[in-house]
Amino acid sequence: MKNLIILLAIVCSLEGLGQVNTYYFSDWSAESQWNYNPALQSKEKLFIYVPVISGIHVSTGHTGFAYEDGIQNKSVDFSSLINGLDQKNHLLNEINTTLFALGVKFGKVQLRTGVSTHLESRFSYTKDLLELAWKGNGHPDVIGRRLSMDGTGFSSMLYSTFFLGGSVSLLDDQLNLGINGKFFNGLAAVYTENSTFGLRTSADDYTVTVDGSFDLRTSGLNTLGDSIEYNRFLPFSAEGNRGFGVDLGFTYSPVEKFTLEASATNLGSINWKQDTEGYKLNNQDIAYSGFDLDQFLSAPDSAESTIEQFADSITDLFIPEENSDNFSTKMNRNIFLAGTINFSKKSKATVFFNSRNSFGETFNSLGGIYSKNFGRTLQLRGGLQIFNMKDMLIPVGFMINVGPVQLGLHTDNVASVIQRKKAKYVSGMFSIGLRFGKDERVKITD
Amino acid sequence: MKNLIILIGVFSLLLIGCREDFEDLEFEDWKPIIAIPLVSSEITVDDVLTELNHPEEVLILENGLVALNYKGELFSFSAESIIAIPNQLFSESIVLGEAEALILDNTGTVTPPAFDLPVNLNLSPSSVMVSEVKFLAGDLTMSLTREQDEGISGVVSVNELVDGDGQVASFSFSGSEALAVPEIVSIDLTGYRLSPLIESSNQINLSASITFTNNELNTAVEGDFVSIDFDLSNLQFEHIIGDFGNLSLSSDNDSISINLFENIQGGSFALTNAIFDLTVTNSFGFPSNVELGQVVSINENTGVQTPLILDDIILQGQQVLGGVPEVGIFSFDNENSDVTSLFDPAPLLVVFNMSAVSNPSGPPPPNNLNFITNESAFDIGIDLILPLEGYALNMLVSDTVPFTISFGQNEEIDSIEFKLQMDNGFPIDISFQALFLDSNKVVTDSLFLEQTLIMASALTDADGNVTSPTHTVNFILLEDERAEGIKHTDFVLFRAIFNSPGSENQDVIRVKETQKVDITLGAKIFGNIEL
Repeated sequence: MKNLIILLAIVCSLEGLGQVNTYYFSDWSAESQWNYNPALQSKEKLFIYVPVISGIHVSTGHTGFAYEDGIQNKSVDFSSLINGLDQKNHLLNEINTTLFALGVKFGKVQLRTGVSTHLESRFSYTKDLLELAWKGNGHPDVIGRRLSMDGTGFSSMLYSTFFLGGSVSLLDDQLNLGINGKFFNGLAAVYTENSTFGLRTSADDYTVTVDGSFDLRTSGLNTLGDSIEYNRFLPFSAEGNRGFGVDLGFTYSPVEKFTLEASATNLGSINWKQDTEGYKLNNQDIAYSGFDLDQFLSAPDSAESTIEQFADSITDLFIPEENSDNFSTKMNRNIFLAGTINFSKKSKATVFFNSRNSFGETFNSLGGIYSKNFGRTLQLRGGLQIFNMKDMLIPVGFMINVGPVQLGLHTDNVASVIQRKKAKYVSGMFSIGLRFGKDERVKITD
Repeated sequence: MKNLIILIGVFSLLLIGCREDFEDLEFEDWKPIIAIPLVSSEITVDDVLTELNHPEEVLILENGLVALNYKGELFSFSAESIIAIPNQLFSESIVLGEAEALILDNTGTVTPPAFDLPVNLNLSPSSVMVSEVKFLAGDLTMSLTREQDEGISGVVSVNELVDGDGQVASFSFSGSEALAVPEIVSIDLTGYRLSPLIESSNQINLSASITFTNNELNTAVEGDFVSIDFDLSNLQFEHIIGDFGNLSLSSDNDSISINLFENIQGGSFALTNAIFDLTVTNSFGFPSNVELGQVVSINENTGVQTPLILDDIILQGQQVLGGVPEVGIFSFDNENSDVTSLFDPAPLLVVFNMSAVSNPSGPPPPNNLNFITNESAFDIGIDLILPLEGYALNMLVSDTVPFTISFGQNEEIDSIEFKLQMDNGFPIDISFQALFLDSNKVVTDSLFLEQTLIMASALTDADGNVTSPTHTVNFILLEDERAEGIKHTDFVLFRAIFNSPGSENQDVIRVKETQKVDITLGAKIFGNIEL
């Protein structure tokens, strides 16, 4: 039991993912063009991201609690840990890997293409679930109210993206418009489309009322378990699931020192048709108040079987129907709105709003990033991010340009590095690319 | 793929690092409280009484008043147990005198004048004088035996015995059998009527007309010439008409059990009303006087016996042969007898005895004789109706039952708190205690510290009718420390004491059809699990 709790605590207090990747608020990085705003144009005429290790972004987060929320002086205080939870809490995880990218600029048009892989997941649970587990259904804090486990569930997608897009500068470079077309190749998915579960214990007579429904869809789990072959990541793989999407964006600089940016990425969906399995439970509601005394009096030995029958009936009620229906999942889209003030050619500040979706849950964030260039080689950046409009994070990072090589390293929560026990979120961004040529027309930076 | 492997490696290192953060942690004990509903039940009057009686024994009287109805057959008599016609054999002889013997030898033939042989039909009891018997079945066998070796022929008739067509039963003889060998003739008596004169003490006459012819090889002598046997057997009557005299009907004691009072060990339980309905169904065609004698209620627990004298029952009997039986209901209640006194001692048994005599006013008139048929019967059934209105004062009901308690892994349970709730619509309090006994029936623990009121009486008006139910809540805490004592329990002694409101003043309460009690029992288990 203790080991199980430790494991759960480790997982739940893992700082992690979900925060806005502020690394992309930089027009030095070509990756911003398919991860943030397709209207952006980097200044090089040609960029190439090295195959396989061209970039990785790992982000994980837990909106519930950090290590020190529940552990003080090596003493675990579950009560205060639970008290600090939101009603609905999420473990978010995201791993994006750019396998390959290529971009070419022709005058005012920049074209790009590339391949990336994505593993995105969200596990959600409620405060009531932990309260029920820790306090029991008869505790004065919980008895008499519906303990909601609504929304508890796990969703995850593993897919690869093939993108092709470009941007164009208009109105004497005051306006940039960009678009990326995306083809998704879904490899595996677990999707909790609906999950409700509630338990209420009457404070008067302890009658237990249980209600619940869920709709869980999966695809590719069996074949994923067999092996992971490279060819399954390739577009139009016979074992893949098709999906299409688009990124849209623009930048507008009415004056030289100010730029307004807006984008919507990952608008689209994947239709899952391969190796699909579904488990659906229609809404159930059952109450148990105890067995009938008359039945007990007439047949005392039947009391135990009565309880067993009730338990069996509950079990029967909550056995889901299995199906192999195809299903569709919307992509976890991102909407950005940002304003950038260019203090000089070497320093600028960006204020942003981000609304991101994770399998139907929306997380809104606000933040600001200040970056300063030191010569042509180094760019430092730092700022503040309020993720999910609640948790304050401090992003820092740097980018180095040596010859054609551009190397970036970034975290969106420096606390996860220096004060890990206080951190609920962690992210790491590594990027390496090759840039050739210089478009002198680009005037925003440098 | 390579990136994925690197990523997994990084995460593994992260988890290992985290593991260090979680080592040597101190965990508070896990103390969940689990609430479980155990019982939710509505107990109605019918449910309670079904436990005590058979369902058909509950009556709902006017205004919904509930009554217990004990039904039974107290006494029963059939026709065969009253009057019977046994098998019977009559033997007579025809005798010739000296002159008749000489004539027979000289002339070769002689026909003596016809003669009658009277016999008396036997009945049980013998005091029954018959005017008519119609046979449902039976055999009459007539045999004629030559005592001297002379020829004979003739007819023997039973004048009082006629068949369904009115023909007198006659038997012809030819003397064909050898000397001393009976010549036998039989008839089936089904449908025959035998009609002796009622004044003749059941006498019937055999009329014989016999002719004798001479056998030259034999010399006739005076004396017995012929013997005649008249054998009645396997007699079953369809009806008998006559003067039956003073027939006596009596029976062994009979009783009814009153389950309602079972397990009552003490205190008072008084009913303010009780009704005996005796239902008599009589298809005997004679008047009778039924004496119920002494009715006694017996409490076998206390030995208390309470007698009650009930008035005799006068019956007229079925009026017409083939008519409808006489049916009468004779009620005994507080208006005509002190019936309720029988139930003061909470009896388990009420014992009855009965005797009856026919024609208590003398012989029946000739034009209205007694009758009985093979289907005649005399039954007395009883309806004992006990309306549940009265009072209970410290009425103690107790029982000891084998009971074992098993504790498994109780080290993770601090205590169990039971919550017992009663919404009582019955006009009665119940205080309760359960004593845990070891194998020597020594008390090791008890459910409550003392006898505890678990169910308060519903509120009642001045007439003892319930106006509103009462809610009672009791918490029963079983702590871990008590487990050691309780787990050696082999028996549990349950003790319940019932009191109706105002019972000390003998205020009457009424149990009605709509009354019920809602019982809920739940438990909170207080866990204590070391992490």
